[in-house]
Amino acid sequence: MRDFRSCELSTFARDGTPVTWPTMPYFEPDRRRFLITSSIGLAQKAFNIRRDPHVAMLFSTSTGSGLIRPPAVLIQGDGEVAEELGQLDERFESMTRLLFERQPFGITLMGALPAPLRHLADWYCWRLLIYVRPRRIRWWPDGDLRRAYGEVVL
Amino acid sequence: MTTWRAIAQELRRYDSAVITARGLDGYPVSVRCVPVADERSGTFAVSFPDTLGIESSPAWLLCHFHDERFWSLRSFGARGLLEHTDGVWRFRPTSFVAGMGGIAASIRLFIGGRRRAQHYLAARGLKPPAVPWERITAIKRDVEALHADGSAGR
Repeated sequence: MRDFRSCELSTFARDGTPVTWPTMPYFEPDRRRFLITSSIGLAQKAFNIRRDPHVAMLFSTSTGSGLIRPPAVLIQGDGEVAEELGQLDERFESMTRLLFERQPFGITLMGALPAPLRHLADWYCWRLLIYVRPRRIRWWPDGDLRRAYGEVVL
Repeated sequence: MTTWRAIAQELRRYDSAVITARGLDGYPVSVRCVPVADERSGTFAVSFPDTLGIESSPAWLLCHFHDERFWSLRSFGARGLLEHTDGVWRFRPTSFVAGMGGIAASIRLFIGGRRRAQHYLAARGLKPPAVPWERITAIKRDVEALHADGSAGR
């Protein structure tokens, strides 16, 4: 899953409707959780999680991962949103580096932003930290949902 | 244009979609599927493995795309209801939700995101955090150098 560029993160809206959008997950194996960050200007998923922590992450888009016929993986878990905004500490640097490595055109765009105009993009760097602790993991070999799935409950 | 027709039209740009509903245990359940449009009923037939424990409920349909370099991002979502009739799961859309892709969506994202970020800070009495652009730029240069020798993005 570390090689997937994106996963589909689902949260629940106030009226109970699930809301799913792609996002970039960051696996923290030593803490047995995922970290997802979101600008405070795009914070609806964080608001949803603060109200209802039930979330799911589906790994079903392997484009760019280099993986050949990977399984589809559905992780259901409990989300938590840190109160403090993320800082550019060692972990954040690692995530920023990973994003730049995987999204080379994004680097070009950042390079095109003249220093006097960077403050207009500050909002995108003010990030909320969302942690997802897996509770149940299901996977389908080769991504084929017609096959029996494996399952682990944590 | 009806919601159903707008979604049917957009769906043609994608190979598959992700459908999400609430599971019986309260967690979202997402699977990738190929929706089959049925204009007469105003629904899309979707595949859900019977063993996943879902019920007729509010649901969300997502289509998204990124290329091998994690770019050319485009997406849309749809709110609706998941129904089970005649042994078939059907998604009945109630609203179309624009996502990423195109100049208009990018401008909407930038202007709306910036406005919401400022509101987030103001609502909590927070000062805009300083963004360490110099450090971010240094990471960018490091990664560009790695791209130049072909070792980034693995």
